[in-house]
Order: sequence, then structure tokens, then C-alpha cells
Amino acid sequence: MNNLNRKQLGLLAIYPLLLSPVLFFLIWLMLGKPIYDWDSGWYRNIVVYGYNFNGDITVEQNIAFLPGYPLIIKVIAVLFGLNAVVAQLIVCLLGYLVGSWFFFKVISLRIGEYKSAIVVMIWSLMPFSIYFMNGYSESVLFALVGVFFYFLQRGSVVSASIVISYGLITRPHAMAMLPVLFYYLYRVEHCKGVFSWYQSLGRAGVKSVELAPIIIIFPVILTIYWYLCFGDSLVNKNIYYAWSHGVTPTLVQKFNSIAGAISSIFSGLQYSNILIYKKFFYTLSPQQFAAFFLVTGLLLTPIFLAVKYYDFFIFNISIVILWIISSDILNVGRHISLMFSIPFAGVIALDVLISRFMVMTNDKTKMVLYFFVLLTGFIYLVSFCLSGIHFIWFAIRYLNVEWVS
Amino acid sequence: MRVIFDHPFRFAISFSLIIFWLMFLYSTSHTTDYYLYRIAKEVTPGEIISWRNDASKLILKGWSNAEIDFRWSQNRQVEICFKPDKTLFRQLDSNGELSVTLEIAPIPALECKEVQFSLSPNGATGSAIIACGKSFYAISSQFETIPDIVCLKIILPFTSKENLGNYRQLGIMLYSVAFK
Repeated sequence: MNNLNRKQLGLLAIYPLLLSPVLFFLIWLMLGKPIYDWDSGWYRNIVVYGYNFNGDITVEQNIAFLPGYPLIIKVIAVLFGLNAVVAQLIVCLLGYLVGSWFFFKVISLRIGEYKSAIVVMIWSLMPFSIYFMNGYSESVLFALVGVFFYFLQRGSVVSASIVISYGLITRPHAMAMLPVLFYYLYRVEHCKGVFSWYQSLGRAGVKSVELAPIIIIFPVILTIYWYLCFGDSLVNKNIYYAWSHGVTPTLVQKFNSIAGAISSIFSGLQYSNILIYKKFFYTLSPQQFAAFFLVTGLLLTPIFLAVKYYDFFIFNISIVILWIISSDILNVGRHISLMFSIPFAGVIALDVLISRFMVMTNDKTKMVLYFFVLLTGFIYLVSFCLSGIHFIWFAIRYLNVEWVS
Repeated sequence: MRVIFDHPFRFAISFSLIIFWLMFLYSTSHTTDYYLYRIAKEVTPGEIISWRNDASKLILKGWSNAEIDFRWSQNRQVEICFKPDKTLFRQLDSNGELSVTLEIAPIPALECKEVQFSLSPNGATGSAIIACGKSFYAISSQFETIPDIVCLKIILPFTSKENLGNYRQLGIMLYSVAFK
């Protein structure tokens, strides 16, 4: 059951790989929203006009956006003679397909093709698939992360480092790959059976430093380019001032995302005398939504420890930490869109629970206990999906600027 | 050490490259303040800048966006920086005295509490008991040479509790800043 024939696999793959993101994209258009608005427009601006910066950091300018994604659009546009919008559409879809395929390849070696296909299918049904089709850089980073894990699985550390390097000039979230690489280097050293754990740790540190020139190669090129063009090698960080309403941005802004999320949940609980559905869906705030997914991400993380998939555990934790310290709670989906580990861990957990449930024959107490655990997991999964559907319909229809930009 | 290093030379080269790049970034990047000071317009003696026209002349740190007729302080320590017109200030007062007058009003909890002021770069300090409602508070200092940038730091004893759903920590309302 674990491995599929080509026909079965193809049928399973068509739906998640093609239909869902496209479907979300069509919903987007049906709701009368302009094609590729907000940040997508900035990326397109870079493709068409190149980087511009007039020295006034109180005015929003395209230098705030990293070049990894628009560079690929530019290459596709030039190679095939396409306009920027079409090239953007192709890059987004390709990024999603490539990412899904490589993640499928990576996890199918661990849980088999059949369950991997289910993971990819659940992932494609997540509301955050919209980020793979709305012209943002998420789909390219998703592809890069998938390729990164694939290279690590094949033992190609240098290729994985090059992927990280390109990721770093695509989205800052690419930093989440660095601890995974470090863990891989540690594991390789430790598995030799010659070194103690601390010697392996030291050797992994040394190997990381040796790989660093490869990892920083694209950031180095970018910073030199910025220095030559604008006289400031880190000009990108200053232009965020225009988006931050006059407050000088800091790396860690007092963990507002957590504080806001928790306080908002407690204030949301004051409602009474209305239906749960209405209460939940009409009063759901971005903070509550953020807290829901943050908690889900954290709850599922220990599963990777239980099954010893430490690389996914480290990646998941890194993404959550990046999410917390960036204090950017409004763009929830943009953080979640890399948490491929959520459906992965969910499928592993349900698989274990179901198999335990199935082998029980006589012990009724245990059977009841497992039944309730399964029921709880199921209810949680349903609310997870329902809130996702809410995100798609309600957020795009009414709150698009805050939620989807 | 031999256990840790397989290729010490390779490690040294890599480490040097990282350090070299970090040094490059350090020496070729600018701070946010650099850009803000560069685009700020000079203030002249006798000028009164209100919440309406402060955008291009005052560099505000820790203040909210302009509301109906004021700005809120959002931190316990807030700053107002400006570029004095050196020639005009020198012509007006040969001693190089520069005075800043603030028109502010506190949240009720801050009334009758002491607020401290500090003017940089020479570090002149002062304090005042905040009155109820809108009032004027002045701080002045003598400069041997009028500096390029002058910053007035206001240190409040505390701020209000954080608003739910809005991350402002309110303290005082800033209405206008006058220079002499």
C-alpha cells in the first residue's frame, strides 16, 4: 500500500499539484480582485524598471524587495518573450510544482509514496496555497526549500548551500535552512562513529564555516551591487522605514505577535449568546488566527522528535522562531506557507493513531481512550481546515490589504 | 584540535572571507538616521513647527503618526531631533544659545509627575512637573558651535498600559515645537 504504481500516483498528483492553487487563484479573480496587486506589483516593478532608490526612505520604493524572485521572472520573460505578468504567473506555478514535487520525493523515502501524496494533497488544500499563486515570492522559496531538503537527502552539501544562498536573496525566511544544514553536518560527523558528540559538534561548526563562502555568495554579490548603485551595501534594510510608519525597525520588537495574539484571544472570549460558528468566524481577528496556527505548528513539532525526523523538527522550530521575532502577525500565511511540516506531522500522527486503534481487539478502556484522542485530532483538523476556508473567503473578500498583502 | 580541523587552511580562508564581508558591510552601510538627517530641512530661530508640518523638519523617534491635532508618545523615552540653521542661529545669539519649547499635554495619570529633558550633543538636562492639560515647557543650552543635529530626549516616569489590539503605549501628546 505504501508504494503506488505510476497511474495511481499520477491521478493522486493531478488534483493537489494543479487544481487547488489554481482554484484559489480563480476565487481571487472571481471576487473581483486585481491580478497581482500589492507586493506582486513591487516585484513586477523590479522586473520592468530595475531597482530604484532616490535616497528618501520615507517613500516606499522597490529596493525593499529582494531580487531572487524577480530575477527568475526576468529570465523567463526574456527567454520566452513574455510580458512580466505572464512570466510572474508561470514562475509562481512552477515554483509551487517544483516545491511540491521535491517535498514529495523527500518524504516518500520516509513514509512511502501513498502517504506522501496525501501530505502534498492536504498541503495544496491549505488556504495558504493562495500564496503560491498571488505573485509573491513564497512559491520560489517553497521550491528552494524543497530542493534544499532533496539535496541534503542525497548528501550534496555544496548544492544545498548554493540553494540556501539563493534563498537568502529571495526571502529572509531562507535562514530557517541554516540550522538544518548545521544539523546535517553534525549527523554526518557523528555517524562516522569516531568522534564524541561534542567533537562532532565542533567539526560541524568548522564545516559550516568552510561552507560559508558558498552560502553567502549571492548575498555578497547583492550587497556589492547595492553599494555600487546606491552607495549603501544594506540599503534594503533602511527603506523598511517607509513601511513602518516612522518607527525605526528593530530585529526583535518585544514579541508583539505573541502578546497581541494572547490578549486578543481573551478579549474574543467575552462574546456570548451567539452561535459558536458566528462567534468564531465573524469575530476572528488576525491575532487569533496567528495564535491558532502558531499553537498548531508547535503542537505538531514534537511528532518529528518522536519519529526522529530531526531535520524537519529543526526547520519547523526555526520557522516558528522567525515568525515570532519578526512580529509580523498580519501576514500569517506568508509564514505558514513554508510550514509544509504541518500536514507531514499530521499524517504521521494520524497514521500511528489509526494503526494502534486497528490492532486493539480486547482492551476496551484503551480503545475508548484512543477513540477520543482520534476524535480530538479529527475535530482539530476540521477546525483547522474551516478556519482556512474562512481565511480564503472572508479575508480576500473583506480584509485583503491587511491579510493577504 | 586535529580532531576538529581536517583542513585548517581552508577554514582560515573561509573565516577570513566572512570577516572581510562583514567588515565591508560595516564600512559601506548607513543607518536609518543617516537618511533621515539627509532629507530633513533646517529649522530657523523663531520657527514654530506644529503636528501638521513636522514631517520634513523634525526627526521623531518613538512617536505615533499624526492624529487629529497632535502626536502620541509611544515609549517611555522619546526623541525629537532637528537640523538647526547654523548661520541664522549664530547671527541671532553669539553665545550659541539654542532653546526648544514644547507644547505638550499628558495622559491624566502623568499629571503632576516629573518629566526629564535632555538636549544632545552637549547633554544639557532639565526636568519639569507636568501640568494638567496643554502647557509649554522650554529647555535651552549653549553650544560652542551650533551642531549639525540636535536631539531633545524626553524621559517619562511611565506610560499607560498597552492598548488591546493597538500597540501604542501612551504618555504625552505633542502639539508643537518652537525654536529660539
